Amino acid sequence: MGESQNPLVLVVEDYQDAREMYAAYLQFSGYRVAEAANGLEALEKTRELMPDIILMDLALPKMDGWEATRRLKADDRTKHIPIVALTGHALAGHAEGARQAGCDAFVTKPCLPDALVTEIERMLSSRRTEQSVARRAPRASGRSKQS
Amino acid sequence: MDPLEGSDLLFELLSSRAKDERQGTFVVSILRNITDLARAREEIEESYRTLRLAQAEVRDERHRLDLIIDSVADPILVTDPEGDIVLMNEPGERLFNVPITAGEGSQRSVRANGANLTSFVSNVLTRTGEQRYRGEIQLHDPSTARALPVEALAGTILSEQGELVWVVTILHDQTEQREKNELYEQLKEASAELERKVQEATAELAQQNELLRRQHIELEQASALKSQFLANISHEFRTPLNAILGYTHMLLHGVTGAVTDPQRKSLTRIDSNSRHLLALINDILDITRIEAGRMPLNVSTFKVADLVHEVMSELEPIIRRSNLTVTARIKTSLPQLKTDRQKVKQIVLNLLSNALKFTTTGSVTMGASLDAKGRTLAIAVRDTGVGIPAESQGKIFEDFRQLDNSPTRGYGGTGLGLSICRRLAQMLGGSIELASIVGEGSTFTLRLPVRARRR
Repeated sequence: MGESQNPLVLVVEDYQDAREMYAAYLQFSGYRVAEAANGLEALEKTRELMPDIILMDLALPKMDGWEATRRLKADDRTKHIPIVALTGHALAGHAEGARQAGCDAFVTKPCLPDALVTEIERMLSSRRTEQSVARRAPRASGRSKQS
Repeated sequence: MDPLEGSDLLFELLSSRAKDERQGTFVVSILRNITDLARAREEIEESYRTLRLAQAEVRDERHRLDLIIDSVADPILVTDPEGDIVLMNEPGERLFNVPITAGEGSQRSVRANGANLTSFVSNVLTRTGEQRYRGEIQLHDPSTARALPVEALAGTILSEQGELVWVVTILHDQTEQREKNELYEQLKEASAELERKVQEATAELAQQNELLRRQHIELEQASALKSQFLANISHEFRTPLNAILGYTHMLLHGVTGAVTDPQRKSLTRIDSNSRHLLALINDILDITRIEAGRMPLNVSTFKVADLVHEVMSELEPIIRRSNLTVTARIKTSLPQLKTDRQKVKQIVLNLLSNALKFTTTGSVTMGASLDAKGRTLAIAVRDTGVGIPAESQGKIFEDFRQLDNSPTRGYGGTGLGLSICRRLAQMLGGSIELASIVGEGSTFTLRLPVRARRR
């Protein structure tokens, strides 16, 4: 992956409209985007494309997001990739479960596209700081946060 | 005087004058020794007296006997071997003897009684070896014709020669005894019945308890299911809503190209309605979580003043848009609160935004004070708004209550805010009170223990 290229985001979401919406807004915001509709597909796409960051819905068919996250974090090739968990479940325990599975951040749906982009930017920039690897910053959206 | 024995002798002297032509008048006396005769007469008189005395004694004896047997309540009858009554007491008379003037029914009873007695006595006679004979006779009371179950106890009286002279029979009315027995049986039955009923009731109670216990478990399960169902529904609602909000947002921000002003206006309506729907879903989920006891308390220590100012700064855009004077007077000397900060903030935020929403002119003032014991802190939000009529002040804490129930919902909001606030306050061991006068304004006061009790 060349430094000239914009970061690649893998959007894992079974709900097509939401998946395509996030993909469209991420592309609009200057990211490259790959999509996966379930946990198994997420594993395949991750190993194939080695994205810079993964946006992971937790409630997924075939293999849920917790299990996919655990597997990715157990794999030496993929464990460095930050994973942002995305779920509509606001019930207590989901955030903790996502953290235990290895998610690096947690966003509750509904999440407006710009808020999601803000979170992805934050994750990537902290990674960059950690790794001291300079990358071209994606276009900032800088719009109001969703309340 | 007997010249020989010196004892007195009694003589009868008979003298009569006689006249003889020749000798003239003379007296002839005859002496008859009547000593024995007199003695015999005395003896006769004596034995007569004795006899009279004996007769009187017998009469007395008979009289006493009559008195005695009459004083016995049970009929006593003495019959000769033929079964004819020779003696009976007063109670016996009542059964076996009635005046001729008595009615036909009484007569018939008496005849039947007599026949039954005779038959009983003849039974006694066939059992010569026995001194006493016990049996039962069915008699009727001649005065009432009522059947009398009678126990008869008979004894035989023999002469010195061993001949049977009399049969003495004592009758004992069994009616009372039988009634008592029956009563006793009824009592026993009733007691058994009662015991059975008590046992049945106890068993039923145990069954009811078991049923209630099961129902309680089922209800708890149902309630848990309901909470889970609502949580799921809320999730299912959010998924499409997420797409609606997202695409609206993208359209509004020109991701798919420029939008005209009328389109922007429509998109803004879609956006605000979607947000309202989201707020409703979130509120319902909050209530569900509180009711299901799945909203945990996160206790921390913080200053009331900080929290109030935080709330005010969050509502700053709304405050600025309003023409209200919004002030907070919170003394910094107040003790720190040790409770769930996020929940207190949610309540205060709700109370303040309500005050802003329902006040068009004037002011909104926030204050805080400590009670005399220093255990309860009161945070008051006072406005100069529309006010709430006294009869409606209780209702506004109910679910989905806004006093203006018109479809346009002039004031917006989900109608769940205050009911959530009250639930949250209760979770923290506190309360929310309201004082209001229509046209003058309302004061909502949140009272909280300075230190939240774990519940």
